[in-house]
Amino acid sequence: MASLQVEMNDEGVRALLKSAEVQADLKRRADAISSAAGDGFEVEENLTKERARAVVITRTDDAKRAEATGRALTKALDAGR
Amino acid sequence: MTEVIQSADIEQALCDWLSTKLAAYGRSVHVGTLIPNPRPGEFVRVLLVGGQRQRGSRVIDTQTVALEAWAAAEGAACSLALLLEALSLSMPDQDVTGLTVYRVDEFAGPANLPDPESTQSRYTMTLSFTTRASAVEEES
Repeated sequence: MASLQVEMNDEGVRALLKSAEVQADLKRRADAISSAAGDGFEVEENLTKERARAVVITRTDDAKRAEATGRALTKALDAGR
Repeated sequence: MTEVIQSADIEQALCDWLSTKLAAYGRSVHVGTLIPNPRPGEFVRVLLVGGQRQRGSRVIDTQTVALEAWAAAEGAACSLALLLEALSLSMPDQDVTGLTVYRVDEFAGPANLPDPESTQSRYTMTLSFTTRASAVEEES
């Protein structure tokens, strides 16, 4: 049986995870989740040493309450698919 | 004729099954989709929060559900949440009436999330249930 060996290019993977295309894709998904969640939710983006990140946060007390009581943000996650 | 395939009513199925199983493990608590009024000392809320039909399949369905364990004190809420988690993760190996459960994945495990509207303690978790959808027939 033939065997296959895959060697990851760590530097290349890191570059991919921080690329403009990945950043744009994450932003698009996070914006969609934030919009679906409603008012008071915001997107924060940052670039770590390893990867690009985008998070949706509750900015207002109303948004915090909406998530704590009715799961507004959790229910919006599918908008990011 | 086109076959119409409908997702399982995961909220109802979980309410029924978890209620029976929790009682079997010594925690006879109300399990429902709404917060009961008046609130009992302990209860469980089941909330469907999303999901999707698996790509390439008409019948394999993944539904995401938030489970909340409520109790008067943190310790009781935590132990109820841990039992809920254990029972839910065991579903693929159990006989669940009216529901075929292929797998259960944990999206977010039990977390201490106090309720802002009462003094009750609450632990929550979010799980994905992969189940089989089934055909529905036209009535006429």
